[in-house]
Amino acid sequence: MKAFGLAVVAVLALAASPAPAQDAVEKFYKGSTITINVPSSAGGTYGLAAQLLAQHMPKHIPGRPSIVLQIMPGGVKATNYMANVAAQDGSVINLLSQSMPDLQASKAKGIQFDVLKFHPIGLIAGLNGAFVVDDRAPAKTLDEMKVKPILAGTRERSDYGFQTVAMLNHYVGTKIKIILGYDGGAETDLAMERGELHGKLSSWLSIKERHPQWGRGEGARVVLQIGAERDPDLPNVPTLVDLAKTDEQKKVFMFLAGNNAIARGLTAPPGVPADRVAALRAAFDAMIKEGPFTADLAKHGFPMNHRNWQEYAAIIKGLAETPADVIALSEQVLSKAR
Amino acid sequence: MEQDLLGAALHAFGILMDPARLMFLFFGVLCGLVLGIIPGIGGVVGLTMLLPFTYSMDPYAALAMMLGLASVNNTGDTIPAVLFGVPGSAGCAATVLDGYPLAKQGQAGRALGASFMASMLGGIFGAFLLGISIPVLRPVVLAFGSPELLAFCLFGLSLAAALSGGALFKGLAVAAFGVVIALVGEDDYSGTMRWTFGTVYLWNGIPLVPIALGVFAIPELVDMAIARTAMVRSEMMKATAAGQWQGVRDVFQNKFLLLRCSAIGTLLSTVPGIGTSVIDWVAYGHAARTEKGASETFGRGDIRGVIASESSNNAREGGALMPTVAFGVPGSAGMAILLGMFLMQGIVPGPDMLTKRLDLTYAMVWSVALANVLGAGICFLFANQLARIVLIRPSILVPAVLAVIYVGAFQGSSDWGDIYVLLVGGALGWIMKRHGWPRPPLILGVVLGEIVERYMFISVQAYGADFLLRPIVMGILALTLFGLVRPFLKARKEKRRIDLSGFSLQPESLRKPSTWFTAFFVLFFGYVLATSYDWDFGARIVPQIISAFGFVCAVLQLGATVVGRTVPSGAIQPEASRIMDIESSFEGLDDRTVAIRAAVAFGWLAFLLAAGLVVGLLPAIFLFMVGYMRFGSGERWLPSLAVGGGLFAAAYLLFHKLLHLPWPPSLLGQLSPALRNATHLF
Repeated sequence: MKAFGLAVVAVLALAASPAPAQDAVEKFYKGSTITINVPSSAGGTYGLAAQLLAQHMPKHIPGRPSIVLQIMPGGVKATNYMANVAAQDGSVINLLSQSMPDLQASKAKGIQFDVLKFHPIGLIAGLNGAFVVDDRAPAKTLDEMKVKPILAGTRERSDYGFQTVAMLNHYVGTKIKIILGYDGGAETDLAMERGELHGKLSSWLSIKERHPQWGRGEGARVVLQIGAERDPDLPNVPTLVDLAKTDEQKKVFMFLAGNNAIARGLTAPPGVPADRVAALRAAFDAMIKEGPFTADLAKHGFPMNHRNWQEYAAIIKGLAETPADVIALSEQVLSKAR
Repeated sequence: MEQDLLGAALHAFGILMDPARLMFLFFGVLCGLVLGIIPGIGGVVGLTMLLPFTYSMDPYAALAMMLGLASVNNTGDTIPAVLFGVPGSAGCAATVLDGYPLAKQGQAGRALGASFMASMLGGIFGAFLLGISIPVLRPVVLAFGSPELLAFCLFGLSLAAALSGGALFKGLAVAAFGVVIALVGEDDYSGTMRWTFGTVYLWNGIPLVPIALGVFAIPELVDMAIARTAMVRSEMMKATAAGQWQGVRDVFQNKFLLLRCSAIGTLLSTVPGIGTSVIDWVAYGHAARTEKGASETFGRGDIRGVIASESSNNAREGGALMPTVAFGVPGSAGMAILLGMFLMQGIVPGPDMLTKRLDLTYAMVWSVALANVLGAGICFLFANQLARIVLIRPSILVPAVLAVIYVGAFQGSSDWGDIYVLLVGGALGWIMKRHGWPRPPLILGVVLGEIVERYMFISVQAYGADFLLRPIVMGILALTLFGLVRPFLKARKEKRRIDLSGFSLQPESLRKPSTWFTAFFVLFFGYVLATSYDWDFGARIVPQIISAFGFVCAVLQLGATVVGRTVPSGAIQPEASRIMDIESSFEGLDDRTVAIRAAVAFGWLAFLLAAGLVVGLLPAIFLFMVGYMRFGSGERWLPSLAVGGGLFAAAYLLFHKLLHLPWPPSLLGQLSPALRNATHLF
């Protein structure tokens, strides 16, 4: 019996040894191409993150495949595509749109995927959101906004730019009017510049990349940030959670802030074989460890808060399984928001 | 300042003259031309593919390559548009209207010559305007807020009237139909699902590429299949080189038209959301409205139609760069990818690009200009050979182009729904063409409908009713109104009167398919009105206004068809004069034969779809090609298999290996995931 047990252990050990798996993965990827699906326009920070991966990741993947981008603006559309249409063999992987776990928890319309079935590869960066207000606005601080209304813009009701501001209006008492219909961050920036809008919410990274002067506080200022912790660049700007006065507010604000922690992360779609997922995770870790990738991240202003796949997976799970009472609270507020 | 600009321009020219950078520019131009020729596969696919190569390049070389590709996409796409009536990209559908009839008259060389020359000059014009407007770029872009952009788009939409030719009610009903199509999907403001029928595909909205290919490309190919003859006889192709030269001369004879349409192309493309797919129509509509005798000759092979469309769509690049460079707002999908490259290269769009980094901005100007010269030059060199494509037998040409169109349409949203839209659009387009309904207003409606709704909501929310009082808005709206009422004023001036005599019910009209097609529009708008009345205010306001308008137009048209032909004379004669579109004509074929052959042709299209659903699109292309040639056209087995195999191999190499286009999932792939994983094709 003992001998049998040893034999089982030996067989298991052999099966677990990396060499044959590595060979199979190398054979699969050699001379081939990996496509990274980007759920946003190429000109934003999703596109930038994907391009940095395309540049640095191939040499760490067995078989050294090349990486190309597939631009597919629209988080739900791209994630539906990855779960149902894209090849499930490791030749197509994706940047997971940050609000997908939240939307899944909220049982939002149009979702045809289970985000928990995606395989997290690694988190490139969590990015705080920042509410930036033009210097010409009638109200320049949150307190002033409780008295004088200002105009802020975003695309649609399911945007986090709408939902966060709606919560702010409801719980903090600001009078921010949200103008819907702008086709992305660059358009709201331009609308701010020409005085059509007074403020907007987007990632702090895109604000400082696209408008370095705003980042320095020239012409516009950041009055609020959304994230679990304050960004090192914005030590004196309160987070949304800082504004919470009750437990209920804290819960809802934490839920809203949660997806910032997984802003730019790499996943593989549900059906990818385990050996290829493992190889991609190992490649991600090796790329982080090596240095040039993180140096490039830093050069482009990304915060250094990358995470390995286990930590990334845990955050996704926490968001997707947000308790029903918190979801109900936020739905209640949003259904009334105009 | 002028001295600085000139110095910077010359400095940038020097930088770009580096042989290595010129080589990258040339490479980009070649890619752009080839991708332009393939229907549905446009610059965006190419730019995405080239993007990773730019990481290791210096910014000037990278810009030269990317802009080289983007700038000439609308030069290459003319070739299939003129030669077989299939627009190479959504941006040159207007070229088909006159370019294709010219080719059918044996003047393909002239049409191509004029296209290439107009493209080149239009492209240079756009680059030049970008170059000289740098000092005023930011203030000008800032002066145009959402209300001004709304007014621009309304102006564009009003050209549906000009694009209707003599069939005003038909054209307006079709434009309204296009707007309704554009509004399908989730409404941004209230989250209302508008006519999505519970499908995720429609929830995302109907993409433009399969609509444009369906409405413009499929009807021509089906007609070719019906006629069963090569559209041009070989002896008519002799004068190609001389014809090209004639085309070049035509451009110079119409230099003011060229300038006007280039200006339209450049200015319109500065508006985000107005893509290349509508600019050519606006320019064409402008030409149709202002050129002498256009209402008689446009759509029948008038070289001025080709010049208008081609100059405007190449002038676009310079215009689209303006908001991209000055504000980081991409003027087109291609520009968004260029912005991605900017980010990687550490180029920050904004004020610095117009002061400290003028070298980069002028490198872009020169890249666009040089690419247009190179692109047109290459096209002139090879036009002679390319023009011979029209001599290929329809039994080979029709299925081969159809197969490529399926792949192109799938780029819309990478969903089988794209192929369904392609086929429905194809059937609709064919019926419209056959029964004299103008198709151009449809595209205008589809492209502008969504943007008009968006800018209208922003304007009303941000400015209230005051947005109408802004001077530029008032100016553009006045111009739009003037354009709309001018035909009436003209008719009044010429003392033409409405002749009410001769009204009578025409019972035989009830037997005509065209009457029933008109009734379809009446029912369609009735359905739209009935299904949208209880939606949230924000979701229903635009659909209700538009469909009520469309309903009235369709009812008037139906009345004119059933009751009699007596209508206000002059510009609005629904049935009397010709429409501004290619007309179907099958010499020697009776209606019954045409109907049977059309049914067979659409049957083959359905076969390609069905085979694709079962075995995957690429293997289906092989089956379709062999089947169509062997059983549909009576070719022998050997050539059928050889051509089918050849096309399969070419499609595999180009689309799968080189461009990495995704393939739709199939039943075979679902049954055998191992097979799908091994090949990535099913």
